[in-house]
This record gives sequence, C-alpha cells and structure tokens, in this order.
Amino acid sequence: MTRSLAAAIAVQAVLFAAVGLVVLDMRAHNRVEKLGGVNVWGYRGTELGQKKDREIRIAVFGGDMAFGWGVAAEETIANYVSRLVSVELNRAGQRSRIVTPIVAAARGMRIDEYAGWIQYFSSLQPDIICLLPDEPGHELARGRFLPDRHSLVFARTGYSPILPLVLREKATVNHSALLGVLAGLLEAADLETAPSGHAPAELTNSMGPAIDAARKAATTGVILVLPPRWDDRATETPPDDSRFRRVSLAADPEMHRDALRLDGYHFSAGGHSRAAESVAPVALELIHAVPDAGRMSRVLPHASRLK
Amino acid sequence: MSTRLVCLGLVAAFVPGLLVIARLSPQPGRITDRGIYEASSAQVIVPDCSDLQCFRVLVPWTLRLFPGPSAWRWKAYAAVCNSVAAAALFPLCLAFGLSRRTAFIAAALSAAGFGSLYTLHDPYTSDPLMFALGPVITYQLLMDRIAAAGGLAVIGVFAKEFAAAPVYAFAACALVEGRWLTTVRAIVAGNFAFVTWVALTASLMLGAHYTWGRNGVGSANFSEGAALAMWLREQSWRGVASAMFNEFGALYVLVPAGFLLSPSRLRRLSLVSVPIAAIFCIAQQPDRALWNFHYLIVPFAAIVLAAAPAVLAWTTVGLFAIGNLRVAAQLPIASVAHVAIAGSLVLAAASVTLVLREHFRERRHHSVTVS
Repeated sequence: MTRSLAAAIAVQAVLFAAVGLVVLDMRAHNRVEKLGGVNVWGYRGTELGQKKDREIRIAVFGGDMAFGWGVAAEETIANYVSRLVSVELNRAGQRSRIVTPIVAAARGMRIDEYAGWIQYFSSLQPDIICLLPDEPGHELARGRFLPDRHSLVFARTGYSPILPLVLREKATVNHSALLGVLAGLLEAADLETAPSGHAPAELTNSMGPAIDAARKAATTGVILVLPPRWDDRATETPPDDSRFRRVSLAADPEMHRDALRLDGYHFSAGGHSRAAESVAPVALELIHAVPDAGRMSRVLPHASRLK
Repeated sequence: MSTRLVCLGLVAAFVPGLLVIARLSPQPGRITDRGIYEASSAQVIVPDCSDLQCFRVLVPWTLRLFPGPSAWRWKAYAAVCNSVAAAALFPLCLAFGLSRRTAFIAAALSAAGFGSLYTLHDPYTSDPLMFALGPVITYQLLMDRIAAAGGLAVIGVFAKEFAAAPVYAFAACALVEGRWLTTVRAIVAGNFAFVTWVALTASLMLGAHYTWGRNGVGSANFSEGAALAMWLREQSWRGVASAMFNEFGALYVLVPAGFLLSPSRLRRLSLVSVPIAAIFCIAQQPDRALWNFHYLIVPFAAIVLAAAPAVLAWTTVGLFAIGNLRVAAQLPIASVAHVAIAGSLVLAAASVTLVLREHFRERRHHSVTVS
C-alpha cells in the first residue's frame, strides 16, 4: 500500500467519524425533539423556518417548569397558549393567522441567565414572549444536554449536541456497558465552556433584566407568568408599559392542585393546559392591542451569540 | 485522427442537433422541478426548501453565471451535457477493447437515446450532467486515473448523489478481478465522494433548514418501497410498461445479444453494476434512473449493430432516434414515431439474427477446426 493511499484512508476515517457523528446526532435530535428533547438549535419541537407573513410566534422562556420536563413538546404551555390563541384568531370570516409556539426554556437555567438566553433566541423573531420562572425553593435540574448550552460546540456553532444523552439513556434502559462507554466518550469529547447549571437554585424575584431583554426581543408584548407558588408581591414590574402584562397562576385555585403536577413540581400536560387558559386571553389582548402583530419583523442575525 | 479530436468532433456534431430538438420540444404539460431549480439558481440558498432537488446545487449555481433566459440556459446545458455523454462513449468503448465503428454507433445511440432526448424536453434536472459523468469517470478509472475519477465524483455529488456510483461499480469490478490495490483505491475515491455528499446534505439541512420533502423522504424510505413503490402506486400497469419500454426501446432487443459478444471486462462491470442500478431503481423512478447507466448498456447494443451490415445498423439507429423524438422529446410526430419504433424493433431483431447466426457459424467452424 502506498504512503499516499494510507494517508487518504486516515483522512477519510477522520472525515467519516466527524460527519457520521453529526448525522447520528441530527438523527437523535429528530427522534427526541418532539418528545423530551430539544432540536439541533436548542429549543423544543421542530426547528422553525423563516417567519411567514401574518405568522404570530409565541415564545416561552424560563427554566425547568417552562421547559416542561415529563411532557412532550406539544404538551407544554407554549403550545397550549398558541392553540387557544389560534382558535380565537382564526374564527370564521377572519383572515387566517398562523400561530407558532416556541419552547425556548432550558433545563437548569437560573433566572439571571434568562436575559442572555432571550437575546440569543431573538433571531426566532417572537411576537409575544412569556416568561415563566421556576418557583422559589425549587432545586434546578442537573444535567447539561437540554439544551447543551455550555458546550464548546454550542458556543461556536449554535448546535446543541444530544447524542451523548440519548446514548446514556439507551445504555441505562438496555443495561448496555458498551453504550455507556460510548456515551462517556462523547460526553468527554463535548468540551464545556462553563460548568453546567446545577448550582444551588438561587432563585430571586429579580426578573428585571429578563423582562428588559424580552421587551427588546418581542415585537408585540411580554407576559410575565408567575407560577402558583410565587410571592408576586416582591416581583418588580417595569414602569407603565402597554406591551407588558402579568399573569399570576396563583389566582386560579385549580393551579394549586397536586393533580396538575407530575412529581410535585413539574406540571403535567393538564397543568400546562390549565396554565395556558390563564395566559391565552392576555396574549390575545396584546395581539389585538397591536394592529400589525405578526408582521414581518426586522431581520435579525440567525443566531446572536449567548452573552 | 486522435481519440480526443474525434470526441471534440462528436460534441461539435451533436450539440447543434440536440439544440434544435430542444428548441422544437414543447413545454412539459405537467408540474416539473423547474420552479425549485430556478429558485435555487436565483437565490443560491432557498431558505426552508423542502424538496430533494434543493440539495442538487451544482447545476443551478453554475447556470446562474450565464446570461440569457432560464429556459434557454437549461436547454443549452442539457444539449451540451448529453453531447458530452454521447461523445464520451467513444473513448470508453475503445478502452473496453471495442472497435471504432462500435464506438461511433454507441455515441450515436446515446445521443439519440431516451434519457438524452427526454432531458431536452424537461431540462430542469441534474440528469444530463450525470449522463456525462458516468462514462467520463469510468474512462478515467479504466485508464487507472483513480484520483481524477474521484475528484470528478466529488464535484459531481454536488449535482446528484449518482456521481459516486460509477466509482463504486468499478471498485466492485476490480474486486471481482482480484486487483486488491485498485479495489482499495477506488473505494477510497468513492468514499470521498460519498462523505462529501453526506456533508453537503447535513450542511444544507443545518445551515438553510433544508428538508428532503415528500419525494426525498419517500425515496429514502426503503422499508416501504421508496420511490419505486410511490411510482407504481401512481401509475397504471400500462403506464409502467409503456415507460419501461420507452426507456430503451430497440435496445432491449440488441443488448442480450451484445452481452453475449462483449469483452469480458465490459460484461463484468455491467454485472457488478446491476445491484447499484437496482438501488437507484428503487430510490428513483426506474424509467429515469436506468439511463444513468447508459454508458454500460448502450455499448452492448452497439456491438451487435457494428457487426451488422452498415445500412442495417445506421437505419436502426435512425429509426431509434425518430422514435425517441416522440416518446422522449415529445415532438408531435406520433404516427411517424410509431412506424419508426416498430421499424427499429424489426431491424434490431434482424441485426441480432444476422449477427448471432454469423457468430454461431464461426464458433462451429472454430470447434470443427480445433477438433
């Protein structure tokens, strides 16, 4: 075998490994993004394309509760709000509107990280941003892949790897040592730029920076959705702003029922659905208040880097 | 005259003829991929494109560099590539050890074949480039220029994934022949093309939110019969039979006899290409996919015609071409074409009879002499 052929084979092996990993990771995303995972860009559900004319995008930001652990992407508050808004906007005789949900919350995200995350996803051009913070006392989720926002790959490209998590879960389910080793290798290769968000949950009521970031990113309005066990008397509110609304889920007695929680904390599909019933009318109010809501908003860079 | 000059001459002869046919061919009366290719040509990246054709970027991105109306640019591209495809059969036939007469007939059959003339009718496709790359890449491989062949395949996959197929077919042939080093080199060359195609596909999916769309997902869904199943579902059996007959017409009569008389290398390369062709027949419409392998099929037919009397051979080629003017280029000459197709079948059968009779007589004579 000639030296050049050996070199070509070596180069090819590296290329196949790199491209193969990307393809497998994309495939893994494809299989889990509608279930418990995130898509390649780090939010739940399928990736969004370019915003269409008369499309209204309703994004939900937050931590564990807004992410919707334990329910499918279609069963989160963002989807239920969008469905209710869509039904109302598309009544017979009205020009149809597309209402698209964006579940841009992240597992284990602290409140002080919200502002940077909202700014990062401003390229998705949300019309309405709902902020749903975690309840005080909640210990933030451990683990780094939902999305993998501290990885070097994510920081450089915006791509959120998920294959290590999928392999790890498969290894656990199938009791496979080999898959476990592979998952470990990939986790080690997926270098972190900062430690993952499993610091003690230092929840503060200071939503100011997140609200400011949301007001800048949302073209129609911002809704601060306070979870049932939140002391909303201490929550700062921005000065008079017609584009800002606050919804306290505690006002709905049903939201205090344990039956709407999966594990005592995370909402079940029923919990998300019930919460959406409080948020949707407020979202509609904002949409009606802004005559050209859902217009083609300014073109933003595809992905601004996470600050 | 040198082979290169003959090739240039053939291209120069074929291009005007094919351009005239392209000009006369009516607009397709159905939805084609024109819109997608034109968008790709105009915008380079078509955000959120959900069609397999969006991944085939080389031709639209190249044609956007040329001036003139879109239809003319695409028809000119089809005419030029099909001419190159036909002319490339000349050196390829010589490389297989066939005569110059056979090579000329093969070139003419290819230029007037179904795939060639159909893409003049509907030029918004990467197929003409693939028709040209098949023989060009295979010739490079036969001349042991594997790196050059690999380079062409790498460029070709930007137009269509088929570009890697001739390299893998050659690798399989070398494996059958026991040429291990050549096999490894060809596989490495094919793999570079394959990995380029995968990287291109992943990049467009991630960077521009491209998806394969119904046709792409359907084509890749082998468990449910891929594009073949879709095609069979949407066609009547008569339509399927008609499409498959039109694909090769008189060549169906000539090829089996030509296979019997062909040099072993051509036969081997064709046989190892059968599984690859089968994959493409399942992943694409078979009537469109099979012409990609014209460079292996047409020489068999040319072998028979080259052994037949010249008048018979060239009349068969002429009638074959006239038939394809109707069934492929869709020129409004139905009654003439019916006669031409029937005539080409009869003359092809006559050629086969004459040539095989002569072949078996010679073999008998040879065996008597030896014994």
